[in-house]
Amino acid sequence: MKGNDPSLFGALLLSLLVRILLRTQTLFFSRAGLLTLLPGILLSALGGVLFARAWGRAQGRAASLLFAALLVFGAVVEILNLWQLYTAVYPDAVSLLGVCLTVLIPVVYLRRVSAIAQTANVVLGLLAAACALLVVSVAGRLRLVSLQTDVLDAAALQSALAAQCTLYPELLLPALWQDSAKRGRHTVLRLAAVGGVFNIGVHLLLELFFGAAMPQAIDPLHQAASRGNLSIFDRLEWLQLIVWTMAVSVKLGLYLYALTRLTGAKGADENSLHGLPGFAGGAAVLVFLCAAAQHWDLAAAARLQNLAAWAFAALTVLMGGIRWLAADRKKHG
Amino acid sequence: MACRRPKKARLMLAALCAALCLTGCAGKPLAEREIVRAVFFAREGGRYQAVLLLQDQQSEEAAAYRTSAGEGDTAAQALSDAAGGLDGTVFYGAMDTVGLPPGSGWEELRQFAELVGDTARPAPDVSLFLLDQRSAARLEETAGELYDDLRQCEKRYAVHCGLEMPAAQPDAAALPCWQGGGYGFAILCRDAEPLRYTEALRAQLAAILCGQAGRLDLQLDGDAVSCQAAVTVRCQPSPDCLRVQLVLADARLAPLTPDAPQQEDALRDLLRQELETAFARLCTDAGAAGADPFRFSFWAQNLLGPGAAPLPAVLQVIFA
Repeated sequence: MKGNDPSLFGALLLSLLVRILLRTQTLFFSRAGLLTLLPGILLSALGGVLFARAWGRAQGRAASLLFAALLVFGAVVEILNLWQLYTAVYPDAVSLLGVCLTVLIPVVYLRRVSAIAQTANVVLGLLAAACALLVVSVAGRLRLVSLQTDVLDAAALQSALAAQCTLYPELLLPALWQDSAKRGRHTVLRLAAVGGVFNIGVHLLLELFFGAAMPQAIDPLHQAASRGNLSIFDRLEWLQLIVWTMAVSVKLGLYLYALTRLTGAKGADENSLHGLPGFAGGAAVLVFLCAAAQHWDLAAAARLQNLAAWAFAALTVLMGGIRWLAADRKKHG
Repeated sequence: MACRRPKKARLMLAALCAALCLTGCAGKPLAEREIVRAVFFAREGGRYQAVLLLQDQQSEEAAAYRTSAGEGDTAAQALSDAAGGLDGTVFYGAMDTVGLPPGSGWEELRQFAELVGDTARPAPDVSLFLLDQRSAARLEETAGELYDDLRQCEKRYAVHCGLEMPAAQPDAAALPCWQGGGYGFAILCRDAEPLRYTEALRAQLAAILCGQAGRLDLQLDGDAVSCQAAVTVRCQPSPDCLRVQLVLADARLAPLTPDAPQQEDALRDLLRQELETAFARLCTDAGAAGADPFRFSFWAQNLLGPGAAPLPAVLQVIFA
């Protein structure tokens, strides 16, 4: 990682993984998921790559505002997901404001790109360790015969493919910085591939744990973590929650950085510190939005977010294509 | 500019106050909560009773309990009624045991598991037991004692039916039954009469095959031989049969009467024979009920394709 031009791949990956971890309901049984994994990865990656190609031409005030709205929506859903988990662990004791402040205050230190990149890599390591611990702690409860052997029909495969084709905002974000030094090569494809495989891994673990009841489980990964134990430790879901909280903070830091670029508040130096008043204002707005949206159905909100991301990407590709054609005609005319 | 700053600060302060009001910033201390350790359900005359076993926070003893009972047309109403009669807010974060009415069927068990799962989210892990036949009044009277017995039973026999287990299979659910001292085992089938095993060997073997227990602790041959062993199950499918291997580690077999076999090999043969008889009975019962509680069909379907009939299962007892 270079001091002035740090790679944000770790932050993008962490942000994507925490979306999968905080999902309120599972999407498919793992056999259907495995069969649709490759097309799912390719379609999601295609969406991200086309968006990145078109963004340069389609970029404008309206497109930037739509992108910013998509990111804010994603941030609100993530904070509310986390709050829902905290209230499940300790009902009536953890307020939404407490959770908002817990995830937003660390973002004060994540206003510089290098800080986001460095913190993301550390939290990514912690997340990997926490995931390994989760698997070890529930290993005794996993049963191979819990895997479902029902005949897969076209509807099951179609629904699994639709679920695999999630266009995470993280697949769109690399379009904001065209220089590959800041994101590495084939960022979108790598993100889609790692996200898809991780998603399948999580579903496999949950199916081994819940069996046929997996689709009905709410906050399934957290439920599984809360029932795992290791030696004398039997409340290991707290460890997961702590790491997930850190990951959400990094995600918000990354989104803040993206928002400052989208709103044109970029300083002369790309790695300069974003202004504190602007951050405080943004944080206050986010808390307000979280308060307003606290009764949302989060599974429906996540579906809406995916739909909005695809619609926005399609619109951008369309606009970019039209502008490219117009520029081409002008050039030849 | 000088005029705008205070205005901006006031605006931000107002936004902060609004956020505080909307998001809340107060919680309830633990002392004001009623800490639930267990919930026991009973059913009498079509009505449900729920007994909450609460930690007595006023007592200096660690194992001091209070109870609160409620009733209703549904289990949810009974639970709500029991919680409603308390002064403090009910806290389920330390609950680890749930007892269900003895006559519960497959559908009912799933409903109870769902109700407890929704109500008692903070609980780390809950053990489900079917209770023995006792009236609601008696249940309330003996709740503390029953709870201690169930915890001891779970620890001694390494038996555990978690909340996720009743719904893990689409057509059958299984759970241990409290019968005083040891445990029995019930297999509740979707479209058939429940199978209930009260004899220790069958009950423990069924629990082990269902993945809910990991230990044999019983007496064989009319209480003439004691047997204790840690057990793991391995399945080895082949095209013509399914070999179910019971691997017994740290097996301790001891004669309790002078008439019982005294040699280790003879004791092992006796255990092997008893296990094979019990296994054959369990398989016959499950087949007659049209259920697959041990998921033996999983191996046939993976080996021979979807929809394949279960392979005939053969038990192998291995002493490690």
